[in-house]
Amino acid sequence: MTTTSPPNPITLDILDEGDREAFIPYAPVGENLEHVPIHVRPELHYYIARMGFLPNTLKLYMHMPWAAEWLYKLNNAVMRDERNSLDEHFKYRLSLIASRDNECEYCTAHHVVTLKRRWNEADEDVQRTLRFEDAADEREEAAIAFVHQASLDAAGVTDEMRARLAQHYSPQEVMEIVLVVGFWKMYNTMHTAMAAPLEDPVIDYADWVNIQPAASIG
Amino acid sequence: MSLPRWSADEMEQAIATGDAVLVDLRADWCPQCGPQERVLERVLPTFDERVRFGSVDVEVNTTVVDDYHVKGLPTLLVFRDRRHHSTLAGFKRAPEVRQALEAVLQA
Repeated sequence: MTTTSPPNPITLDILDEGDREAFIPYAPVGENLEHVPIHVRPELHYYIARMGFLPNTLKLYMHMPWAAEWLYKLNNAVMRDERNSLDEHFKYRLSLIASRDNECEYCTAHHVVTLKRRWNEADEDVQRTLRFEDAADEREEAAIAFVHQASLDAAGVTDEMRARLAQHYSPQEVMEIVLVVGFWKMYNTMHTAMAAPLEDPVIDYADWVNIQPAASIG
Repeated sequence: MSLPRWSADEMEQAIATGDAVLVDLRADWCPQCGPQERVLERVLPTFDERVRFGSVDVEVNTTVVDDYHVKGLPTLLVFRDRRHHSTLAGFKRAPEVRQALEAVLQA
């Protein structure tokens, strides 16, 4: 699969996220984010525009807006900063694998919907990524093998895997991949630990976390 | 430490000793089996001399799949006193493997 396609434009159609409650109350954000600190509002607006709805986890993070602000900035830096070399689509495919391997139902469902909505992927395309059937070349295989092993068991990443990654990617690109692994490990851990409730637009993809690889990688 | 490759007969011989035994069922095509083996290579030295361990390729030793009702790979089989003690189906992280081995040693 080629990964250079630009994402679809961000949406102005805001979907209802539904009313599933979390284990603690959501922080009040207001009808139009009026309860969100003004300097954090642009980050939330961009999140909503990108996702098409306000994710429940963001309403949980907003109990600590001074920390949430940096999580949103880190998300942007890792996934879509214009200074990144690897494109956002490829990073979402890697993120999908990482979140599945970290057994995060919430993030996996979100990634599936993001890949479908922003890059027009069909269900079969996303399933092929989860099954390791869509690596375009050896370069992509090296990244997928690294992300897979690092997410399942970071201590099991071998010198051979690291060397292969360094052979195919620049040092900056290697760090971009490492940060994808680390960023989603953090989010996956938090969202799974909180049993973050899936929102209406993604609820149908709850069980995609169970799709396992069908092919060997690397 | 690398896992010895066992045939089905060698596996049964290990079980027949009555010692605690962990068997890693694997295949070359299985994408989770490499990561699983690397977890075991790290965990098992702690249990050296208390647990016998080896890996069995189910593509070569096909009878194992039916004998132990294996539904997917990787699968870890744990034995003690010549009896099947537990099955760990799917990739297992180090704490889960340690827990299973501690459980069989305390049984």
